[in-house]
Amino acid sequence: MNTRRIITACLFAALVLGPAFAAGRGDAVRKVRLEEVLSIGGLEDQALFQWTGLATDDAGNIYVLDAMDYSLKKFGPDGRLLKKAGRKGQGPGEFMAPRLLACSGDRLFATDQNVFGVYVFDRDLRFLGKIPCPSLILALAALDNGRLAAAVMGMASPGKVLVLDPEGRVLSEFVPAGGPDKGVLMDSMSFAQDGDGQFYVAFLFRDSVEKWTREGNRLWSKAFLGRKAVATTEVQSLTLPSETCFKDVALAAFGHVFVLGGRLSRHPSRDVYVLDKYGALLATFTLPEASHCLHIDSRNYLYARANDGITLKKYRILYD
Amino acid sequence: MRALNRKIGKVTAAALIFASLFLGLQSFALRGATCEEAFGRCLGDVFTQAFGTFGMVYCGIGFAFCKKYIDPAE
Repeated sequence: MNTRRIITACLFAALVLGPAFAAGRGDAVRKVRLEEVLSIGGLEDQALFQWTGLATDDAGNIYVLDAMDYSLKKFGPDGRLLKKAGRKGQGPGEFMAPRLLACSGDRLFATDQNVFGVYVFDRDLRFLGKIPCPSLILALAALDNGRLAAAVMGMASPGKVLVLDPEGRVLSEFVPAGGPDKGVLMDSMSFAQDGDGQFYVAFLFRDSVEKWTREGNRLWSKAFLGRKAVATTEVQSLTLPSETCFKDVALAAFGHVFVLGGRLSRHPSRDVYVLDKYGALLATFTLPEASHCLHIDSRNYLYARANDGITLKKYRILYD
Repeated sequence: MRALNRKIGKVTAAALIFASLFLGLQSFALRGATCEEAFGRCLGDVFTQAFGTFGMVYCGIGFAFCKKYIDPAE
C-alpha cells in the first residue's frame, strides 16, 4: 500500500514539476510575447531622428547612435535624455554615418560606416580615442577585458570576424563562410557571443544561422526560411543579393538565441526566431513594427525600432 | 501649426534619407532611391573609382547597411 502511494506521489510530482522545471530553464518555451514598457522618441519631439546603434549598461541607461543627428545620446532608465555628444564631421568624437554601438564596463564603442576603426567613449559620452581596425565594420560586440569582436567585410575576400585587443591588434579571427553562396556580399553577417566565447552568426543574405567556436569551428548551421538562395540583381556587372534573410541576432535569458528575420520572413523585418543553444527552433513571435536590429539587455528586456527609426521601444519578454 | 510643420519636416527628412544615408559617401547624398540604384551611383562615383577595390568595399558596406536598415520599406 505504501509502495503504491510512493509511486503515485512520484508520478504526480513528475507530471506537475517536470514541465515547471523545464519552463524555468526555458526549454519548454512555446510562445513568446512582448509587453511594451518604454517608448523614446516620436513625431512630436526631437529625441530621436533615425537611430541606428543601441547599447545598454547595467544601470539601465540606454545609449543610442542617431544617424540623422550625427550624435551619440544617453537616455536614463526612464527614457529621459541625459546627454548628447558628437556632431557632423570627421574630427575626434564626430560622425559622418554613425552605425554600430556596444557597451562593456565603463566604455562605449561606436562605429562610423566609412571609418576603419572604433570610437571609444566613456559612459558620460566623453570621447577617449579610436581603436584601429584593418577593414570596415559590419557588426560589433564588446567582449571582456576591453576586447572587441568585429565582423568585417571584403569584396574580393570573404568577410570574417576579428577579435581585437584595446590597441586594435588582431588576437584571433575566423571566416564563417561555410555556405554554398560565394557571391558578392553573401557573407554579410550579424553576430553575438555567449559566455563561453562562442559566436552565433546570422547571415543577411543567406538563409543560415550558425554557431561557431572562437577557434573557427562550425558547431551547427540552421535554415528557417526554406530558401536555397535569395533573389539577385545585376548592378554594373556585379550580382548583388536583393532580399534579406536575417538582420540581427541577440542572446536572451536561458541561453536563448533571438534572430530577427529580414524581408523573406512572413512578416518582413518583424519576425523573431527563438532558438536554443543547439539551434532548435523553440518559438517565433512578431515585433509590432519593422526593425533593423534587436538588442537584449542584462535584465532580459528587448529593444527594437519603431516609426522607421524615430522611435525606440523597450519591451518585457514574456514566456508562456 | 508649428508642430505640424515639424512633423512634416521629420517625415520628409526620413523619407529623403533612405538609401542615400546608408551608402554613406556624401557625393550622392539625397539622390538615392533604392539601395541598388545608390550602389550603382556609388560605383560610378569618381571618388570611389579612384580608390579601386577600397571604393568597392565602401559601396558594398553601404549597400549592406542600406538593405539591413531600410529593407523592406524601400
